Amino acid sequence: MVSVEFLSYIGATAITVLLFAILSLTVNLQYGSAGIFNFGTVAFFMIGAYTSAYMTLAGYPFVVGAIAGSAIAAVAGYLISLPALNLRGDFLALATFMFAEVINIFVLNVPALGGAVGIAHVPSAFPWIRDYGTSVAANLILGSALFVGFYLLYRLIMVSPYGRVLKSIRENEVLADALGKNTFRYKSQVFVIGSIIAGIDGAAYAQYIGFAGTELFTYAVTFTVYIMSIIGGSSTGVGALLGSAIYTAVQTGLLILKDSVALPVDSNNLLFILFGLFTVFVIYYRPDGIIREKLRRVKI
Amino acid sequence: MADPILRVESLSKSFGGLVAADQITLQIDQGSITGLIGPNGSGKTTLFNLVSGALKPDGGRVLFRNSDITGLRPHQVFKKGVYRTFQSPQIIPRLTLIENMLLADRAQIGEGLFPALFNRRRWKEHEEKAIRRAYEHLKFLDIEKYANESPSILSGGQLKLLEIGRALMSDATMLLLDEPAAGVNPTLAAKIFDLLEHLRRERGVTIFVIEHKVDLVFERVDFAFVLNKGRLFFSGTPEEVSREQSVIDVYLGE
Repeated sequence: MVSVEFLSYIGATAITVLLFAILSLTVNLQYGSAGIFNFGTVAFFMIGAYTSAYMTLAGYPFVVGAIAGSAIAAVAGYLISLPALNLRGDFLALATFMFAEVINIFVLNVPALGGAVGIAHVPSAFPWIRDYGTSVAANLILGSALFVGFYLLYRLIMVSPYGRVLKSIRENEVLADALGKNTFRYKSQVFVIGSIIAGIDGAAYAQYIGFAGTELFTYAVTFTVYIMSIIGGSSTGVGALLGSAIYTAVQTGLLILKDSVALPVDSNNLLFILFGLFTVFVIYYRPDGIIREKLRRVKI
Repeated sequence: MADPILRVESLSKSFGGLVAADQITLQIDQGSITGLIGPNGSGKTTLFNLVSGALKPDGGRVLFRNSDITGLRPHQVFKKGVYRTFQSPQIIPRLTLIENMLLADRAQIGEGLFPALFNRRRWKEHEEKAIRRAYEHLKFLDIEKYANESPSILSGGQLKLLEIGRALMSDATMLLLDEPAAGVNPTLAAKIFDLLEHLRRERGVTIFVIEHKVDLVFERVDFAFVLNKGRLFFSGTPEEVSREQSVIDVYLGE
């Protein structure tokens, strides 16, 4: 018979997979499907987490915190998209990357926002649950529900004519423009949708770990979800989940391995080395990731 | 039939020291097929880019059906009813031919975010009709067997046909075609121009076409403009142009 501890451990790992799969899904929507290099993904995740942390600490329920977090993330996403989306690919990546850094450093240096200490004791979304195992189960349900919901939204977008326009912008923006598509508006909308999803995800993350601190929201998060997205398949919803699962499984596996085998390097560093190599391998041999986007054939 | 649909008034554009369009003034009659010829680098594509919104002019005006479209973005010019094709065929490789065609459909409300999500029945109904229409166009162009394939497998000539297909799909009132028959065999080139004549006759579409195959152009167009070094050098009927010694000199002098 497996123990409750073991199940809780698996459950906790699955929650991490789901919450990062959701963030990876925003990368797939923006980068994989519309070609937008948003390298500030973590900023919107962080805005959602901090906003919700403050709101729930002030006594509001989680749902209100998550909605407020996604709303502020959406506004931030819209405002940054206006100047940023006029930039081309790599410059857009730089601008959004710097935006995320500025947000992080700003919060780090303003004690009123938590500063270097962060925000402790963020209330759970399920404050009535006392027992750890039940709390993991509840969070697993929350994470699954959010992932399934956002996955369906992503699918609905991508199978519609709207999604077709996004793909055309990804592959040939000049042609999309000549075909009457207001490419700026499409990109701005996708930027905001991604920010909303990342904001809600951040809220779920903060209540799950019960803490929000700047060290949790560094650029490493952005790179991690990009790696997940690229490995799993950046143009499919399932790819986001698969990428997150592979990354988290290897990460967790290395942590366990560390205890029984003398690893030559620290397990975290080994993770970066392995995934660096793996990502290069995937980009070289299978640039669209493990799960590839299929041509949408129609019946005639 | 002699109403001008497009009027270009002293349109200018320079790139650094190079004057790519120098005070070009011309007008295109509604329902005409008008040729635009000139040696390489004479500013033909620049003129198309200026009219279609891909480039912003330094000076001058562009009027389409008496409304000022100067400096509009390409997608706004498309919505006014002008569709331009590119010298090297442009495709979306990860969409099928049908879907490449559907992108030119200007009546699909499902391209808006909210209708895409919340008015699915309406866009799906429209989509079915649009797919049939796109397929008929592909059939007409004789590339329907690739309907569900990526356009990246098409030959150069077939890609030219796909460009024309999208032009058909767009229901544009005016087409700006940048060398629609370049790099294709003479039979296909003749077929493409047959198609253009058909479009003009059946749908009253106005066609403004850049073409290097001078003999072909002269057989098919009503009127031709000759550009040289960014300036309007000569204009007239094909007979007038072909009789003009200075035009011949410009072409042969290159």
